Amino acid sequence: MRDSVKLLILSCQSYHYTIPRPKRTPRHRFTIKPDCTMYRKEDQKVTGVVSHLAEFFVKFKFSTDDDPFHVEATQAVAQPVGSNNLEHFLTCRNANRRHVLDQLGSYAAFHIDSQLRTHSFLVLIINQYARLMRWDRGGVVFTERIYYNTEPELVEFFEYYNIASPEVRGSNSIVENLSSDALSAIPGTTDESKTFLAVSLDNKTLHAQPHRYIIPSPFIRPSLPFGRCTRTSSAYDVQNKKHVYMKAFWRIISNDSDIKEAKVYQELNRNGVRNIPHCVDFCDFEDEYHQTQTHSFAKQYWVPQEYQYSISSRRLHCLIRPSRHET
Amino acid sequence: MSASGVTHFVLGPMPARQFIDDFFSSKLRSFVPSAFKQDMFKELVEVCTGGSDKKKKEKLMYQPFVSILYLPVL
Repeated sequence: MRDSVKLLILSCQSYHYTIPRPKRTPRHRFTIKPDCTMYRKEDQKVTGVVSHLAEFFVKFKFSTDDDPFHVEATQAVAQPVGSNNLEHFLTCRNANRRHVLDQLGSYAAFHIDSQLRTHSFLVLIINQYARLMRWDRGGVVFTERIYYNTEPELVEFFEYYNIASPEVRGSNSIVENLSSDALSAIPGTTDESKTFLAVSLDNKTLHAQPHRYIIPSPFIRPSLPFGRCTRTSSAYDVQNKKHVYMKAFWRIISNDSDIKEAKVYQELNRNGVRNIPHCVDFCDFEDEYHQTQTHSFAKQYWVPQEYQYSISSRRLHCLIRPSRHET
Repeated sequence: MSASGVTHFVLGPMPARQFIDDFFSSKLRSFVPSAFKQDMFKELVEVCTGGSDKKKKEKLMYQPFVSILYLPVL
């Protein structure tokens, strides 16, 4: 196994993150401790949790009482025909398990937010078994128990992850980390304590080549990663060499004729409606990796029929407006 | 959103084989021979089966797990 591994796991210490708060309020501090962090081999010199480089987290729990997906024996129900060793759903009837589920959610949010990822995998090792998870803006899918010493799926997960494309792993194909050399030519990016990302929007109706916008790495919020998750940021328009405003969010896909925010701005602009910001660029991403996938499993035989879920199909939508000083 | 709210966004338990197939192998053109061997996590299982101080035990679980997958920094 060692010979084939291109990825690297490092044990790490807890990571303290200061959440930015409105002015005049004390900064709130929280700690995440994801036990082990997986990085790419080229990032092997990093130490601790470097959020914008992390591939995924591995969490360890010694006690099965900490398994948020554990099922009490008394809750067992008749299993569907064809299922094999399935457990009955779910969860959170004691404080420990609720706490662990919150913990896992905060790791996923931390990871997805810091890199603007489309989704994030997470491995939970609980005593002699493991569970795999895939988190996206629609929800989370978790696996049945994998007894890792006798069943191959945990090792296979690492092997497949190792050779998977960045999009399959959850990297956002429109987002790129910037080197300090690349940043030196861009005004307002000299603060070495900050990291910056380049976001490319490819709207063929507006421009032949993708346009690049530089944004500071997003603020990380102590919340779960589900829903619209609107992120706004000041940005630098590399093509036009000026500051702009970027808004990105995961909109619900209702049907083919649903309303896209950028289109509404354009229509209002075109008709000369006053006091409406000008939308200079936008992209509604239609490829499979910029759509959530969790909802597609909601009708699977292993989801209990009585389960009331709130999982929506969502798609990433980005738009660019002039900055306040430019309007 | 608290954990009680999370439960409306959680789906499972998905069979582990389906998880691998749907999220990885169906998107790859090449077959990946697995290096899995029975008892390859024997050391980790030994840590998990002894004692009861769970905080200490969780830290002791890191090394046997990482040693299977760790690529030494050269």
